[in-house]
Amino acid sequence: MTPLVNLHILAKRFTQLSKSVYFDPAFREFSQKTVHAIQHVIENADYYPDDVIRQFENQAWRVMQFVRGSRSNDAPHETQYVLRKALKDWIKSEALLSSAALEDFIFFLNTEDIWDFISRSLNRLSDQKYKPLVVRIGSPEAFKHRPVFCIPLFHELGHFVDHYYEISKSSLLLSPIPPTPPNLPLQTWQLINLHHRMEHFADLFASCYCGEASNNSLLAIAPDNPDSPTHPSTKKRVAVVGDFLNGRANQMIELLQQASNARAKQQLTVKFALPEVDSAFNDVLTYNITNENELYGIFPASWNYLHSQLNTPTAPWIDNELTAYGVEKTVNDLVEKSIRNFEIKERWSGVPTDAN
Amino acid sequence: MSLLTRTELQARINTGKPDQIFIDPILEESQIGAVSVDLRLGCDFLVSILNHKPSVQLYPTDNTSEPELFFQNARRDLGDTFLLHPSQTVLATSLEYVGLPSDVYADVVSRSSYHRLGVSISSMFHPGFRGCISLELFNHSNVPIELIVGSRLVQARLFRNEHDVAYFQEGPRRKYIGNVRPTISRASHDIDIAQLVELSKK
Repeated sequence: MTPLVNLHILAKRFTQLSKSVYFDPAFREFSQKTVHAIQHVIENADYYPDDVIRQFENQAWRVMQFVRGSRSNDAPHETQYVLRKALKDWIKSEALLSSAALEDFIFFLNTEDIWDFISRSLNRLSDQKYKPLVVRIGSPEAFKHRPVFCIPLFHELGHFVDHYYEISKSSLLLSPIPPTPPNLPLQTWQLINLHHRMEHFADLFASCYCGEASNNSLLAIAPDNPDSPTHPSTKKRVAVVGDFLNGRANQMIELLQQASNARAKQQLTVKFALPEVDSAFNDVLTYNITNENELYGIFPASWNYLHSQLNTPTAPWIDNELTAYGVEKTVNDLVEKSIRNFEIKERWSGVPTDAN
Repeated sequence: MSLLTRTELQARINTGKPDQIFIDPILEESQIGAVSVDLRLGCDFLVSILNHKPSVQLYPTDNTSEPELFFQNARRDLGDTFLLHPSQTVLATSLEYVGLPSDVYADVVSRSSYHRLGVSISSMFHPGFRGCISLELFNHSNVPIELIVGSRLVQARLFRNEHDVAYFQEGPRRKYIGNVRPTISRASHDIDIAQLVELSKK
């Protein structure tokens, strides 16, 4: 289990993955180049310092988790399709969206960039021009076919955009943080404020695409969390998003918009349009999504529909025998298929269906 | 009972009215033929596999012989190929999500081009059906066949009944409503099975 032995094992695993028929070509290339980098480190083990080898090995393990989850069999395909569109609003370069399928009820973003590490630390490697943009997000494997429950992934994508442009970081220059509380080191206080701004940005980002559903899913996960070193209280987070969606003035929103403008050359703006899904879903039919705004809006619309049916079933297809599991499966399946139909039509026609 | 022709099909497909024949997506108008609608092969598959159990049990005495343990899922994208081996059973669905009104039922069969290769499919879908059409693929030939996701594999002949049928409101809860992916057989959920097993014990 030394780093070098582990790298041999990782090289074999990446090689196996790169031969998988379930990968798209971009991921296959990523796996193949990572194998090449691993083999390079093994062959030059005497040249690179031990801590570099160990750090590289650690990063490779974590990357493996995401790359493995990105095979088409395992990935939440339809949700990823929509996330890729949202990401394109902010970052025009082609991005690899990779997922870790977790046996846990958590959503997260991993910001480590193995190829950034490689370019900084493996100076003998010839592949220095390869700089893929990889978004690594994790979500519960059980939600693979439950797009309505994957709304938190838009929050994680917001973290990626923030990290890419350093929006929250730059906001510290635009507006000083409040005075340091007594008995707290300044550095710790600065970090707390930065983390809180990052969470607010990610919340606002998610609400641009999912509206109130981003707040609703937060309340489902963390209904009453207090302030912590890493997160503002749920109450504060919900209030900021509420102000944003209702056009109310809010200092945090203004600050982050200013920072976003400066770094990403664009502001957070509402992108979704709420489609009227009730009629279709009541009839157990897919909804015909007509443009990208509705593509985003189907997430909040379906959240509302699902939860109203769970609370007070009125849909004709819900009877006494149908459990909550049956209701959410039906709704999630209809949403998944509605998104997939939009994607199919878009690919078939060869151009985006949204005229804009 | 009458077979719906092109004019009638065009008049009833995706009108948005309660009696519409819902088919989404229809990628080409030419899918609507003189007396049938071509449907395409979908992206998801359940491939039959062997495991250490000798048989699929419709009324398993333990949970290690249930049908779902004998299938493995696979996914392809539009345009990808899927290899159907000789004598292999694969569950797939249509690319299209279909909703039949209460006065229309559908017979779905493989198109002649695929029938000639040894792929035969035959199914019927009741009035009120909702979901992607289930396709039980079987290769009768002795060579593997490469199917292409999105290709027009089957044709649906739609028949109008004289009277409406409340298929999904009558009888026990229907097992496959609203499916968007292939679904393992739920034959074991048939109410008769439990009764028959009890009979066999006497």
